[in-house]
Amino acid sequence: MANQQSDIGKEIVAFLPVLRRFAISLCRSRDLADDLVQSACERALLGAERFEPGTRLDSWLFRILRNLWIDHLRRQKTAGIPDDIADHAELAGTNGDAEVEGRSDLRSVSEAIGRLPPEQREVLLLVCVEDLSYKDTADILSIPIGTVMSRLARARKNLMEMTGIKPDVTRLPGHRTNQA
Amino acid sequence: MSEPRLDDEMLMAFADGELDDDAMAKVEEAMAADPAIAERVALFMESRTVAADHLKPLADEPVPDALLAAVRDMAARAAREAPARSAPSADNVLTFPKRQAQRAFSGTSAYRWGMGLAASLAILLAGAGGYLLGGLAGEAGTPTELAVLGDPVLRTALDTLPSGSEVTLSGDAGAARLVSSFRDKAGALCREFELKRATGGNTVSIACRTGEAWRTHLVVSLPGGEGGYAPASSVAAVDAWIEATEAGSPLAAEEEKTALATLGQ
Repeated sequence: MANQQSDIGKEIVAFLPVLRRFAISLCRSRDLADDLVQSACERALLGAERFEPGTRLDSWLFRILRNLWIDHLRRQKTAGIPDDIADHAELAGTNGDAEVEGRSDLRSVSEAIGRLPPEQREVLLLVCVEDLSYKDTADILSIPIGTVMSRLARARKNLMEMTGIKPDVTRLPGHRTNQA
Repeated sequence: MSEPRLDDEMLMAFADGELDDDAMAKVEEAMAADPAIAERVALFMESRTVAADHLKPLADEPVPDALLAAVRDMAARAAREAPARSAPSADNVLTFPKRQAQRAFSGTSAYRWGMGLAASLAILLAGAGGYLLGGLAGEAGTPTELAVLGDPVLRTALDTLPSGSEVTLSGDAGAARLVSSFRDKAGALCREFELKRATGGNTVSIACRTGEAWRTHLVVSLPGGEGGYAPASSVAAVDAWIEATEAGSPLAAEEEKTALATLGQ
């Protein structure tokens, strides 16, 4: 006999790679990401009674995790840890990083994403990496769609500005190359 | 009709498939008229690709053992401790909804790879300064017809003339040359044709016939002013579209003749 609780548990375990991706991309540290993911799963499982069947489990988990991350940032600030000492280290390897064409101020993709303000980074991740709609993103973050769009536009312009990447004729979808 | 402001957010929404058909059509017209706008759209598309290429692979990493074990334990404990529900109903079936496959501009899509559908909207800057504007007619919505198909001379040519033919467009607007016919993945008849406009905008296009109408799926705009038709780079772009959409090979003369004769049946 199906048990809602065990169904949620299975779905959450299955979702771990994606949730972890979101966490790593948000907080820029695998250790912190794994802590956040574990806490988010705990919250989700404890609060599973409150989860409305038929609504989206992934949105719910993203929301829980993102709120935990915001809490973490607030605690850091209170503790006096400046959050621009975030971990800007390469997270995803050098695949796709911009070639620095003689401009010393150009940043790698990883660094550029890390340097985005949190409110820009989170919309970029939800829309462009997790492929959520503007509306779903707005719901997760509890902000208006217009705010999602303005932050997202700024995030993407900043990303391209910081990396110096220009649209590339070889970047036809389906024709992936190894360089940006 | 009031013009929506073509601000960056609208261009971004176009790139992400978040616009309705009317708004999409307006952006496409603006892109065709102004390469700077096409370039902005390209930038937004590229930014999405950059972020996605860089970060999506993170989900391929194996979940660390400790984390996996911890969550499995929590899940098992929660399942034991929760009272069993009564008989499962539809409400109790939890599924993750399919990833929104139709991500981009409801008629056109650069992101529907997983669906195996024709994809490939890319705004690219070709080396010679031309740009590629691609689009795809979606199943559901009203695909956008670019102005080029408004000329009845051209429509008749698409309906009847064999590849290799040239026609003069109405009002001395220019000339069209039919390059090839082929079938798209769904079996619809498509034609590749080149337009040499009197005003100097040269394009290579692909239009496919669904139902009664020809709908443009791809327009490659070329640096204007040259005497001849499409240079090699634009041919490569068209080929790439054909490959990406898994369209068929060009029809031989007899096949094409039959296909044209049976159009609309």
